[in-house]
Amino acid sequence: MVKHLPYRYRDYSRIAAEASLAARDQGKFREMHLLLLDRSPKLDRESLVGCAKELNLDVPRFTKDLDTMRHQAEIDRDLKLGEALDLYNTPTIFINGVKLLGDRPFEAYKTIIDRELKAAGPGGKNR
Amino acid sequence: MSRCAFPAVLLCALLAGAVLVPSPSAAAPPVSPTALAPLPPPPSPPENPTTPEKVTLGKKLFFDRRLSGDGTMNCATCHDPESGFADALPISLSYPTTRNWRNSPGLVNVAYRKTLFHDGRATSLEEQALFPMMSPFEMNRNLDYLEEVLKTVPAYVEAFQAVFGGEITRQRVAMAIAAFERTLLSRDTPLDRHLRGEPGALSSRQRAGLDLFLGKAGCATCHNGPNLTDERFHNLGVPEDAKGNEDPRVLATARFVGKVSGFPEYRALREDPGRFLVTKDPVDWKTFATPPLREVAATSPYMHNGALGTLQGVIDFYDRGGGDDPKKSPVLRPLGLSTEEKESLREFLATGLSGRMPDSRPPAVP
Amino acid sequence: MRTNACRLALWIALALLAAVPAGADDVRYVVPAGDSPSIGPANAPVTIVEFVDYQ
Repeated sequence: MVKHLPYRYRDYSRIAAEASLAARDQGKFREMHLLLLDRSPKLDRESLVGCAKELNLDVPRFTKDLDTMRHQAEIDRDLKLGEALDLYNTPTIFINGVKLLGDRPFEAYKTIIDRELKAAGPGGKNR
Repeated sequence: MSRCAFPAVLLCALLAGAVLVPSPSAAAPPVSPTALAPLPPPPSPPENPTTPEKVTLGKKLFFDRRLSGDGTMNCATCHDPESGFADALPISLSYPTTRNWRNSPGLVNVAYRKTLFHDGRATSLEEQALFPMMSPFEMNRNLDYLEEVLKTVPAYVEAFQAVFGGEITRQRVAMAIAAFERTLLSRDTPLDRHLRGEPGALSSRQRAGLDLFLGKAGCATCHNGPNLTDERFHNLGVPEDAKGNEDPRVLATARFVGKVSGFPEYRALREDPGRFLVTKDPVDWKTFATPPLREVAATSPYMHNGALGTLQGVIDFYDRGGGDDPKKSPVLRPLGLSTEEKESLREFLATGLSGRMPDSRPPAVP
Repeated sequence: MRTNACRLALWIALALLAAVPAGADDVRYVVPAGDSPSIGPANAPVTIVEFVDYQ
């Protein structure tokens, strides 16, 4: 589950978050999310429209969403939640509620996920 | 200085009544049990005595994000109570757009340290506290500006007046934080209870681990005294992260530190020279401070750059005789530990040295 | 900020975090799911919530 915490001193954080939600509206959140992480930091408006083209989105609709900041309220809500949880650093990841701050090597996450899967028991094996 | 091959006289000054005669050609001989001792009550220096009000103020500051340039970080960001007062990362968190180059040391029992930082460049908590605030790759806060910001907060103006009898200064900010840090204690580990004479404080496995710690594994050669550190600096040959060191942000940090340390060849720095940057003595090249070991289980990964992720990894590292640096400490040599011995030692380190972590829930910051 | 693309393969979402029992002695946070976008089956046993900044 992805929540947005755009850093207020970065040019493209906000607009990239808008892009991901605009893509979500067109059913391609996962693809856009991965694309944005891949293309970062090249996330200026033109690049984002390029991403939408790549994913075969309805580009005029996408561009309008970006320019009107259609999902501002949703992003602000995520920001507020972040503040309520006293989060300021990204990425911050919660795995079944266990908080991990900052960029970590893959193994660090895997260890906790494996542990949680184990604790969930046989009934919970549903990946 | 790193040579444990120095005359015993130096070591005797550090160890209460212990006798250690090091020799480069022999394995580390067993250290007298009196080389370890329970921790005394924490110091309260006369120039900055610890009082409850000062500690309360210091705790608020420790968790206050105003201490960072962009308001996103505070001391607890890298010294997180939920992560052993470190941050569970090989290389510590850093200010946005920058990279740090060293592991965040845990703050449990920091009250007892004679020097702070992996390179020992500060000799008091008061001196240490301002460094990360000023550091552009850590909290990146201009201290002149910080003083003015804090003065706009009535609760702080009032508290500093009550605690220090005067206005807010950077020195007083550091003093308050230092007083709070002196309350982060762990003194009742199974080892401590054992050293105070409590029978059965250590399980038989932990006891076996302690015997190895003092004997065959040679840990107490450097991890001795009440705080399990000789307060010296040693080169263990810890491997560098060559790939990580290619990151231009890491290089910028390394060279910046070299520059402000007054090292003429700072532009050529490609690795961490450790204590050398402080003393400029070639004998200190790549030596780093011996850390204390209480609550060590909570502060992985280990070493100045977090190169060793687990206690098992650390034990294996020492069992091999340390790393590959030709200049590493002559005290290090392969130990020949059996699997069972390694397990006893690991058990002692993980549980024999773990007591009660200091509680530190975030306070209400004004 | 950059994140390792490899670990994205792990995205699993649950509708309600509160449904998962607490395990070991970690501190556990309850993060309200809301209608944030998610990837993966809704009834997965492990929920990962990421607060992300793409830049």
